[in-house]
Amino acid sequence: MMAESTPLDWQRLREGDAVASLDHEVSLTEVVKFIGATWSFVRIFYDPDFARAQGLEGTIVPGPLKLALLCRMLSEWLGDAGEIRSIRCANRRPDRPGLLRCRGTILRRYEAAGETLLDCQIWIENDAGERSVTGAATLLLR
Amino acid sequence: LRDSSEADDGSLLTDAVRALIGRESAPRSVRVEPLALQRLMEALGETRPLDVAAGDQAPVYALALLQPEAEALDLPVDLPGSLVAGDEWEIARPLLVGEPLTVLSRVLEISERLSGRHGQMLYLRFEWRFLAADGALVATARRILGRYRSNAQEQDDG
Repeated sequence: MMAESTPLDWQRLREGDAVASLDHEVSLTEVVKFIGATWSFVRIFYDPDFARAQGLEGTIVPGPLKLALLCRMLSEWLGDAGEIRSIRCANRRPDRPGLLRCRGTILRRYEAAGETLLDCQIWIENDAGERSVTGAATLLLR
Repeated sequence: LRDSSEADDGSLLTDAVRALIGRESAPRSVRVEPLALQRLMEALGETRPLDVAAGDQAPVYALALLQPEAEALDLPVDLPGSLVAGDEWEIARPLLVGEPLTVLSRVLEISERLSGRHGQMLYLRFEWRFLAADGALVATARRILGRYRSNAQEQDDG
């Protein structure tokens, strides 16, 4: 669920401000739905025995699913006030199904070609507090 | 034992692998289908209404529906294991549900890593460009995919 629920004054957003967070419990069922929808049937995502044979503790969450969750966090935070111009992330360590904490902060607010843009740092934390995914996004404020 | 597809020095970065760099796929027609998007939104626990229809603005992550073939690239070396090291999406203008798009994909670069958790690996950087009917760029997606020898006897199909 989204932690941020109060209306934002977009003009007051500055460097260092946090963007909304998103805590989401990813189940194996959701992983299977995701790989079915995106037609990406890599066995370490759905076959526990195979994943363990690969040296993992069990099945893992696909990297593109985690990127999609970061997109969801930013889109829900922006609402009608803006849109995502670009987003990128690096998958630093595997995540098992479970609670994923999506987070972000504003790195820079600037004007370019008459548009107001926000550069953000984004990441996902696992249960141990480690950043399993790190990345960046550029947002357009309307 | 050395894989017969390795170079003499044991590198996976053979001439046949290098030849993939820059090769562009044939144009392919794709679109964000409403039902596929609804299923994707449900998989992500979306809180917004799932009843999307043709012409609606699609969420940025709908691009994940349109770029599945990177894992399926037929490499001239036997590296059945795969992992997505990173992804990038750039949006030039809103992606619409049901809009016919042409996608062009290519391998931007390939590099080799000699050691790590998965041993000797290749990293391939893919790019997909999604064009509207008038040829205008709608979005660009890039992915870095690692390919490695599987640890298990039964091979990964990714």
